[in-house]
Amino acid sequence: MSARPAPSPASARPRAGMVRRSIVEPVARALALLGAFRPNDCWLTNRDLSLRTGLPPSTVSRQTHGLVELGYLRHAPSERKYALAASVLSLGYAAIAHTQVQQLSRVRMQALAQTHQVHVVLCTRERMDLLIVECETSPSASIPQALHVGARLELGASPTGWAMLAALPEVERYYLLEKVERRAAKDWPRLRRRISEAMSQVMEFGYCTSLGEWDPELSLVASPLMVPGYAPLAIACIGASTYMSSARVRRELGPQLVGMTLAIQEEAGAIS
Amino acid sequence: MSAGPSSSNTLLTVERGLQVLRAFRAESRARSNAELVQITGLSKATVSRLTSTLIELGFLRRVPGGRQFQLSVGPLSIGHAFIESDLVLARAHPFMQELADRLNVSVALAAGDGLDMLYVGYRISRRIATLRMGVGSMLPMATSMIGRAYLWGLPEPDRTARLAAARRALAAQGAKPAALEAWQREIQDAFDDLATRGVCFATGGPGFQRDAFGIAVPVRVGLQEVSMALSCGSVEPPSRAEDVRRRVEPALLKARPAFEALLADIDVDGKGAVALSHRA
Repeated sequence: MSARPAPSPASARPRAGMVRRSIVEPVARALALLGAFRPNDCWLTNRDLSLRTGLPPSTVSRQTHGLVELGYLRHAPSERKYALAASVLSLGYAAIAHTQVQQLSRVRMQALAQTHQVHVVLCTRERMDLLIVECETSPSASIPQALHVGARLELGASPTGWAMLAALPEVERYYLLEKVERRAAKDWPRLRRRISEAMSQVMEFGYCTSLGEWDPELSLVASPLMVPGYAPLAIACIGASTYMSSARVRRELGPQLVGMTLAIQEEAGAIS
Repeated sequence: MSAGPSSSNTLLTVERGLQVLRAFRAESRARSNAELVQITGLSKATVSRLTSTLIELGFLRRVPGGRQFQLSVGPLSIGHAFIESDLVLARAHPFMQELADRLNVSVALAAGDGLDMLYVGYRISRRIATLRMGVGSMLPMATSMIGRAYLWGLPEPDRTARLAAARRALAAQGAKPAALEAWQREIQDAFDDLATRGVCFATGGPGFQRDAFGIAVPVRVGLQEVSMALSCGSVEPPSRAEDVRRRVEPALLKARPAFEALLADIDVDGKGAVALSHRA
């Protein structure tokens, strides 16, 4: 799935090809520091934070000090470590974490994960990334590290991104594909072939597959989820290749994934 | 660590940036620069510089075809990292889920955040299909049951200070003297309930949706005995509210000491049990 370890939406390093217009730098740095914490790593030192954000240690220690004062970080003085404080939830978490579509998706994703022993993720697009907004893992399948809410995948390099691209209006798709092309550089001819294969798969069957493509052990099937009034979404099932033969995907998993997206669309439409 | 004028300027800038984010109150409702100026009290130029920064960083987005902004995906991974790594929540959530399932209600754990209650934990009975609030939601401290239970649990002089600030805020929002009087009486009623029965509760009324039932207790969390509040809620027609209260009240009163005991050894702010008095 070509996940990359981008810890923060507000990474202090400008992304390639992205010009940082008049940014208020202290705000960018503070949010980069808060964004450097990942699930499961409660306490971090200034040094950890400096490594993760690329900010100089002096800047980090000034900022962490300030964020403790403002109540967004906790500080363990004896160990010189910092942890996120509950107040970070007041920065907008609820607005993003509890949309109607996510609530409708969650239960169905859970059922699919249990029935098929796969992990099921719901993704939205942010610039050239896919962001996981819901993640239902199956206890009976091993969990790839990058699979958690808030994790980012590269739009152009991920089959889940291709499924979303297939469902976008043409103008938007061409615009995004141009950007993918520029980033892919030498890899573009191969990538272009895969993207058009995936898109014709979505047109024909409603989903696209990537079976053992980036890791022989892991396979993926993805489908776009378009709900009026919402940003485009995509849902992907990720599981062990041994469980996801192309025959099984064609007969069971693929059609059930498509059925699920249709049911979510219908229910969301009925509510709004 | 120097705390010279430059670092305090930086801090002020950070505070203002986060203040603009907070002005959305964790809601998906769109707001304009003008509204944000009104809410934050910052200048128009400052707000517009901060909103364009927050857009660039992925924390806000422009509403298509308009001049308004909406929260974007940026806060998601930060909030998620907190929820997944916090020791209090790891232990509290199974307890809250069990209580929610047993009583067929939603159970919320909230911390004071300025003049608001911030939901840090939330579990809902598996038998209830719709989710009304969730982690990260904010309720006004002064008018919600969970807020009143929290205020009651605060040591003096904190409680009096917060009440005074809440009253000033209500007045600033244009509450008439009669409304302030009524509010003061409600607070007193809630405090009387908390003193005599140990809980406060409401059916409908201010800060509540119609038909919503809420009942709350103050709790002390972890080694540092941090003040928070725990509440149970459900949607009930008024005719059934009294039955529900009779069922939920004793269970919540019993849950309170068990909940506190469950979390008692957790070092909430990393300063250790006695560190507060030693290092302060």
